[in-house]
This record gives sequence, structure tokens and C-alpha cells, in this order.
Amino acid sequence: MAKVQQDPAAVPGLEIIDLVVVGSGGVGKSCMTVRFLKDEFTNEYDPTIEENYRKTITVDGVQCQVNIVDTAGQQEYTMLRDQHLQSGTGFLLVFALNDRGSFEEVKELRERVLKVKDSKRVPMIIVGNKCDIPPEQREVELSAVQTYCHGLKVPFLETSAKTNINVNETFHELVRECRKKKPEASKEKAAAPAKGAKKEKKSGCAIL
Amino acid sequence: MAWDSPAERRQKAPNIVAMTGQFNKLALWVAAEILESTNVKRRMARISHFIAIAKQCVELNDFHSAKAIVSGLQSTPVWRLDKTWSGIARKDKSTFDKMCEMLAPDSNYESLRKELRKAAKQAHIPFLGVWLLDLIYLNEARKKERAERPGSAHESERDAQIATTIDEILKSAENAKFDYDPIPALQNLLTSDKYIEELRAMHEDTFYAMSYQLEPKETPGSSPSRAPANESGEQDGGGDEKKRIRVGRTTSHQAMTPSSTNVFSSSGSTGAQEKQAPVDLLTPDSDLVSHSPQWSSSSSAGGDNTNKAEDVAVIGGQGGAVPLPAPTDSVSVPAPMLPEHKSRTVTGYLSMVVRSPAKGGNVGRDVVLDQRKWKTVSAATNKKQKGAAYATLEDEVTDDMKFLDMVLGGDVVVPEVGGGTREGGMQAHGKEKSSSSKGSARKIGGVRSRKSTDEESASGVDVRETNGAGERRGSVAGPSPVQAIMSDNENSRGATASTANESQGSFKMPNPSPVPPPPSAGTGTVALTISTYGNEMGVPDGHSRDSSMLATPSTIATTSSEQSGGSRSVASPESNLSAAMDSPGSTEGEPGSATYNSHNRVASNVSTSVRSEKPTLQGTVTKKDELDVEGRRAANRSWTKVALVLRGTSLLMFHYRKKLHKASGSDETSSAVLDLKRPIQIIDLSSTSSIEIPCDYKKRKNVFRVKPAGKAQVLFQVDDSKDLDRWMQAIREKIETLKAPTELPPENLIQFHDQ
Repeated sequence: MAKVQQDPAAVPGLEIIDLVVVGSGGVGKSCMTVRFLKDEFTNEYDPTIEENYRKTITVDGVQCQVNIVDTAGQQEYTMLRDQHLQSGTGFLLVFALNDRGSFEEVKELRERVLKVKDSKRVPMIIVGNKCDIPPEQREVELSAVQTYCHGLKVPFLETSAKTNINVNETFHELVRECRKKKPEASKEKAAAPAKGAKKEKKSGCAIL
Repeated sequence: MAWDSPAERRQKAPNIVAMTGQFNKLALWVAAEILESTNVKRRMARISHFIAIAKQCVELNDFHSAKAIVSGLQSTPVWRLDKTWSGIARKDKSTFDKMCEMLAPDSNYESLRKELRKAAKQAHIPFLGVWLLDLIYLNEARKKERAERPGSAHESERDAQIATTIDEILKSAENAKFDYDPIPALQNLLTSDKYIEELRAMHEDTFYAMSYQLEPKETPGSSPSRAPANESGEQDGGGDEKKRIRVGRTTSHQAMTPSSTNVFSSSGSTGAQEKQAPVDLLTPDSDLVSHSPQWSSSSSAGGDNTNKAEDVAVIGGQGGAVPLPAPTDSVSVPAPMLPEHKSRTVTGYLSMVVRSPAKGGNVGRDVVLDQRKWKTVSAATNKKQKGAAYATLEDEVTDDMKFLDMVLGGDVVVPEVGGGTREGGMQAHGKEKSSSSKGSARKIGGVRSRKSTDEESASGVDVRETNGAGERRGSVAGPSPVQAIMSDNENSRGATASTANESQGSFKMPNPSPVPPPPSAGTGTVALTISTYGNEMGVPDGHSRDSSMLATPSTIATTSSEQSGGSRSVASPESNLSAAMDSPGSTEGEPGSATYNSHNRVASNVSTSVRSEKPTLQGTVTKKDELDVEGRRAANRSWTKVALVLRGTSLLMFHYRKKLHKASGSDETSSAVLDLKRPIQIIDLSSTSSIEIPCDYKKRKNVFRVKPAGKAQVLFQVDDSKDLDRWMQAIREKIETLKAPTELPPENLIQFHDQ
């Protein structure tokens, strides 16, 4: 279901990366996404239009189109999560620095992503949002997060979607992660067609 | 956006919560239904079925349910079952793909929005998530605008947009009226506490465990991450939940779940088939009986089914690749320490019984986790040893069972030590108390077979010898084909034999082994009764008794025994020992089947070298005979699925039973249930000239060709290149080693044997 289908807007040869933004409710996922996609809302802003979830950016001198699937508002659809996760190549795990629970959730989400992707390394980035809050409101120890992320070799960034700190950097970093993973991915892809071939064969007729 | 905040959503947005809750339940239920079946075919059928349902939902404009069902199917535990998915009909698959596409979140639900717009005027049930997402975004935009430019036109526009969206939702709600007659019974069921309770109990983590058990992770290459231990750890906690899941299934879906289980196969013997006992095959790898992945269950369908009992034996264990850790409090007997021919297991799906190795002539005991339970079990045993009548025992046991049931919430396997030193045997009763609404409260099933051990080590007898090393290689050490000796009192029929590892029974088949003839009737009252209730979910589950509510052919025995007062189920030696071939009498003299006879010599010939050996390799392959010995095109050149076993110097092929159970040894992809009667074909590698990858056969992949003696040619197709390598290598090695001292007469041509 991961679909990189023909997209009218897509320039041929343009790299397309599907990113999924996950995190518990209220951590500012959508805010971040909106920040990234549209720095300024315009009059025409209409969330129901799909172009709003697409953006062409240049990372390290290479252009690519980023499609974003945001799970905002749908945390409660727990059974949807797998679907969302399956559709992405890179993952933005967002928590709020003033919400300890949301960081725990991120840990869980990471496990889930790995399970869904059935792989040890999946391009992802952990984001501590709301870094603009006053220090006394912080619930999540920076060192704890850093230790966690470092151990897993997952990049970590503090952001503030509200004041637009590090938002673009986050997405760019994630694109880099996805590219790093690519060589491996292509290997996996080499294996994938074989699987597909097998599938077809099985449903075929018996050859006499 | 109250629904988005965990703290407030229940109070402020109860309806949205109800909607999402219902969604999740439906999706979970779908996943549960699929994961519950250990049988691939059944899983495929269920998936197809759900695809059809989802399609109907779409046609009814019920996007909510359609999305939920699709989500259930796409939830990773189900989605990752490649083998199952590969068997889905292309038509269904494409329907499914289309639906996925339509419902996908990509491009902000582009396609789903279109559908929603189309359906707006008709009765429909929308997928709420789309609007929730919109609202979040609009709100986000509004907040931002307010912060940046308070009072601007944008803000009010945002408000208007939000209002529109809400309006849409409301209209949609008005439209969610279908012109159907309510069916009170159904509604009651769906709203009943029980149903809801069950659903609530479902837990996703347990699904992973189930999923890995059904189709273990492939080790090599792409997914080196094996985390089964982790999975199963989660599973332990899930016992409770599973119990309820099952209840759910039974309440609403009996018809859908005729889960046939493994059974010690009694291949159509003279005897009353309905007395076949359901015997669960043990996962060879794990001495934790509990993990044997089947659960048989009582048939709510009752005795009607009785004759349909399926004989299926599982090869290998599902647990193979997924080493499930013992529940924390269990007494674990490390597998490798069990001498392979000694550890015996009468399994139940009682997750907690571990059978310890036998000592001397005694049967190993069950070690039960819990001290209390253990006492109970041994008490029952002792009574029997004192010579209590069987029926009496049963009654007593029943009480114990009740107790155990209470304690365990599961079934209990009670071992019986019987007989003298030279006879080992045990009786075990699994009983189930089912709380099924159908009221078939208790079942007692058993296969009783009897064995004499005159020439065997007294201990080495058990149908289900587990091979310590697990895997299907297990075999009873030495020439003591257990099955062979089992026979009922009349001695005329073989006793049921089925093996936990097909390897044991099946490989011995062609054995002209010097096994003593079955004992005279006098020798043994000692019977081996095994009745088991496997756990279809393959999960350690102390609460699986509820499974009994499932209609399963394999429980038929139990049901019937119930009819007979529940006391004599044991007396079911009718079950035929398919291994009759095995007994020396038959091999040398009159084999049970004439057909076999003709090839008898060959078989024995081969098997002499074979019999004491463990199978080197085995698995399910498809086979095609190209040329026969004479070099003519073979009569039947179609591809057939067979269980292929490389054992000793022979390649043995066995009928591949339809009702197979997925099994997975450590490295096997799947195996079949072997027809214990006889190999359908034997290729003697000593006269085999070559094995190659055919360059002229391109229609299929992963094919290798064996050229047995003469001009015969046989093609085998395996699942993947890994398998291919393995087989090629193993067979090639065999051929090489045989070539060196080759003195074997080339008489062992390939034998065709149609059954």
C-alpha cells in the first residue's frame, strides 16, 4: 500500500519520500507539519486539499518531494496506526517536552515502527517539541532523551513549532536518514520481487 | 479538540470515543479471527471472507466498517503473514488492494474523500478520522492566525471552515440511516456485555505473538531482527485476554471456525472413527507442552461431525522458530537435556505441564508449575496406580479436574503410570470443562493405544516422543518404532500412531526393523491414552478451556465419549495404527496393503540403511515426475505437493495432507502432515546419478532435478532459493558420500506408487 504512484505534480525522476508524523495527542504534530508545509497560512488554506501535504524541498543539493501523512486527531484509532506506519518510509516521532507521557509514547511508537517495518533500522527522528516553554515547565529530562536516542542512534532534535525553531531542520534531517537507509532498502527490494513472483506462481495453474 | 487529548476525551467527546472504540474493536476482532486459525487454508478463507465483507461495506457506503476491516487485515500481525496472503485468490487480492487504495491515508485521504462526497447524499457511515484530521488542522491554523494577527479575516474564515466541517459531520450523521430491519438477536449479541467484554480484552500485543507463531520470522537476510522472546513475553500476560477472545468467537462465529486440529491420525481404520481421540501433537522443540499450538475444541455441532474427524498430524512445531519462553513460574526442563527418546509428552494445551524425562521403566512425570496443581495431578496418578478402575479414576479425576479447572482455568493432562517394568504407558486424560453456552460441558477424549515394550527400552515408548533437539528430525532412537508396536488388544489393528514429529512415525514406515510383534492381548492393559486439547492459537494459555466451544472435528472423540457416559472414551484403540507397516510382521509378511507389498523389498532395502538415521532434511515441496525409469514421459506429470524427506540414503516422499498444519522447525518453512502409511515414492540416492538445477525448465523457479537410476527424472520445486540451496547441498553431499564406497546394487529404482 505504500504508494509511490504517478503523481501529476511529480517531476519525473524526482525522489519521493513518504514521511509519517506520529506522537501522542496534543504534542503539536499538526502544528509542526503545518509549519513545515506552509510557513504562512494563506487565505486559500484548506486542510482538505491534498496538495497541502506535499512539499518539494532541497536537501543537500538534491531535490525531493516529501509526502506527509499526519496522524493527528486519530490517535484513538489505534488499529489505524499500522496502516499509517506501513505507508511511510521515514518517521517523525514527536513528543512534547512538557509531557513526560508523550515521551514514553514515543518509545512505544518506535518499537511499533520497527515491528511494522520488520527491520532493525528504520529512518526516523525523535523530536522534542515545544522547546519554547519556560524551563520550569519541562517534564522531560534532556539528558534522558539524549541517552535514549544516542543508544539507538536515532537523531534527536528539539523544536518549537510555535516559534519555528528547527522545524525545517527536522524534516531535512529525516530526509537524510531516509537516504542513508536507501542502499539497504534497495537490497531489500531486490528480495521483494522474488516474493511477489512466488505469490503469483502459487495462484497459477498447475502446469502439466 | 477534546478528543485529541487523552485526559478530556472521555468526558468531552464520548461519542467520538465510542466511534473510534467501535472501530478498533472491529479491527481487532478481524485480526483475531484470522490469527486464531493455525491452518493456513483457513486463514486464507477468512481473509477472503473479510475482504468480501469489507467490499460489501463499501457498497453500503459504510466506510467506517470497511476501513476498520481493512485496518484489521493490514494490522501488522496479520499483514506479515506472507504465506497466508500469498494464497489469496488474485481476484480477492485485487479487490483488497483497491479498497486499500481507496481508504489509504495517502495524500490526505484523497480517494476516500472523493468517495465520501459521492456518497454524501445517500445513506452512509463515514470514516470520522478524515474530519477529525481536518478539524485539528483548521484549529491549528486558527490558533496560529489568532496569535499572529488577532482578529484578522483569516481567523473568521477558519471559524467558518470549522463550522462547515462540523456541519458536514452532522449531515452525515443524519444520513447514517439505513433501511434495514433490525434483527434483535443480532443486536442483542453485539451489545451484550459479554461481547463487548471480549472485545475489550483483545490486545494487540498478543496478536504479534500469535502471528509469529503462525509464520515465524524468517531468519536470514532481510530481517535479522528476531525478537520472539520479547513477543512471547508479552504473550504471557495475555492469557486472560485470549480466553475471552475465544469466547467471543464462539458466541458469534461458530460456523466460521471449524478449526480442525491435528489429531493423532487414525487413518480410516475399521474401528469407530468417532472414537478417534484428538491428540495434539507436540511441538517438538519445546518441552513445554503448553506451547503446542493447537487447540481442539469441543464441537458445538455435536456428534454430527463425528465421522469427519480429520487426521492430521503436525510436523514439527510451530514453536520451532519462535522459542517461547516458559512462563515465568514454570518449571522448565531445558530441551536439550532431554534424551530424545525419553521425554514424553502427552500434551494438553494446558500451558503449564512439562513432562519430565522418564526414568527407567517409569513414565516421566508431569511437572506442573504450581505446586498445588502438581499435587493434584500426582494424586490422580497414584490412585490409578493402586489399581482403581478406570471409570472410578475418571470420576476422581473429574473432581480433580474441577479443581484444576478452577485453578488453571484450563485443561489438565493427567498422566497415568501403568504397567510393569516392561511396559511403559500412561494414560492421560484431558478434560475440558467448557462453559459453552451449548452446554457440552465436558469432554474426555483419548486415544488409547497400547504398546508393548518387550524389546524396547521400557521407557522409550511413547507416541509422542519428543526429540530433545526438537525439529522434525527427531526420531525414536534405534529401531523402536513406537507406532509399530502399538496395537490394541486384538492385535489385529494397529493402534493409532501419530507422531508429534512426523519424522518418527513416518520414517520408520518402511522399516523391516526387528521389532517384536505386538504383544499379545495379555501383556498390556497398559494403555496410552492421550487426549489433548491443543491450543489453536499456539499460545501458552492457561485459560483455553473456553476453546472448547469451538466446533472442531478433532474433538469429536470427546463428544462421543461424552455420550457414552464420559467414561470410556479411552477405549478407542480402534484407531488404526497407520504405522502398521512398521511392524515387522507386516513388512516382512503381509503388509497391510497389497500395494505396498510390491515395493516392499525396495522399501526395506532402502530403509535398512535409513531406519536408524534421522532425516537430514525435510520439507514440503512440489514434485513433478518428468520421465520414468524407462525414459518415457511419466504418466502423471503434474506438479504435486509432497512431503519430501531426505533420510539416510533415500529421498522419501509422503502424501501431503490437505489439512496440514503450518509448522516450522528452526529452519523449515513448512511441513506437512505425513501419511504415516507409506512413502509414495522412494528415490534411492545410492543409485542416483545426479542432482542439478535444470537449465531447460524455466516455468518455475527454485526447481531442482534429481535423476535417479535408470532414465527417470524428477523435478522438485521448493519455496525459495534458500531452500533450494539447502536441498541441493544435502542431496549432493549424500550422493557424493555414496559414490565413494558405492557397492549398492542399482536395483532401487525409483518406485512409483499410486495410492
